[in-house]
Amino acid sequence: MKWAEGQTLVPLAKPAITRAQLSEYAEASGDHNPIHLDEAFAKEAGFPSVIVHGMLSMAFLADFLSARFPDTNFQVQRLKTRFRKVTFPGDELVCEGKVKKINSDGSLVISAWTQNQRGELSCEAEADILPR
Amino acid sequence: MRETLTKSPDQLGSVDLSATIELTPPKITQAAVDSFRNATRSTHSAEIPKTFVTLYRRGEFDWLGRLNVDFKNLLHAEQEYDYRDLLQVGDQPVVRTRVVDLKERKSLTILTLHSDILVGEKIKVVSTTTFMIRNPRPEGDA
Repeated sequence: MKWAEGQTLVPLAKPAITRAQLSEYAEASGDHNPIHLDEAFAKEAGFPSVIVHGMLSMAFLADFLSARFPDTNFQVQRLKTRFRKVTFPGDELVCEGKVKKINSDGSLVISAWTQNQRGELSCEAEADILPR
Repeated sequence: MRETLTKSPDQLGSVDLSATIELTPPKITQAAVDSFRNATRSTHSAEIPKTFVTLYRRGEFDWLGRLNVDFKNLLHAEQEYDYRDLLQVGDQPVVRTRVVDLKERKSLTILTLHSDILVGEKIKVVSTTTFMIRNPRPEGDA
């Protein structure tokens, strides 16, 4: 497939995040920070409820990029994510992206982001991807 | 990435900010990869997920403990991975984590940690994590 600067990627909608998923993710990732699991703790920290691990949102973006640029044909060399807005259980994130730049060596710079069901940007990322 | 600390070790008492924490987590197993893939509802199954290396953040949590960070005030602001080579099931990672920056602002401390994830002597992934730590308000500050 030939890519062009400004070309948008087919979005990837993830199912609504559940509290059970946060527990599952804590087990799978080893991140047991109580702010993601303990309602009282999260409220003491000033949030209305537990918050979603930022790294779970980043995992969604990485999954999105892996789906659009599979390892068989591409090599993700760098992925940088900024966590812009807190995500809560029940939120539904859609991963979107576009080709920001094509370098002279053929590598792609991809801008990607997650947007919640309220249209808010929750994370934004940049990835360097090299075709094999 | 700036390598200079903006806060000297003596300001943090006995915490040696120049130290590197080295940990040897368990070998990468297919079960751990599958568990991670399921938890992230991954749609793509041909490879180890790119953020699987988040399993190797234990050194970061050890640093947060050494710095006595209250998790109620902790926010993960940025995460960057530089992939030098693919990880494989069966690899035995070694993770070396150090502080590369610590900046104090009026209401926030910004902490940046750098981890090298090695297999054998080869660096496979370099991780840079930036935390924002909300500083407690001074007494009487509404």
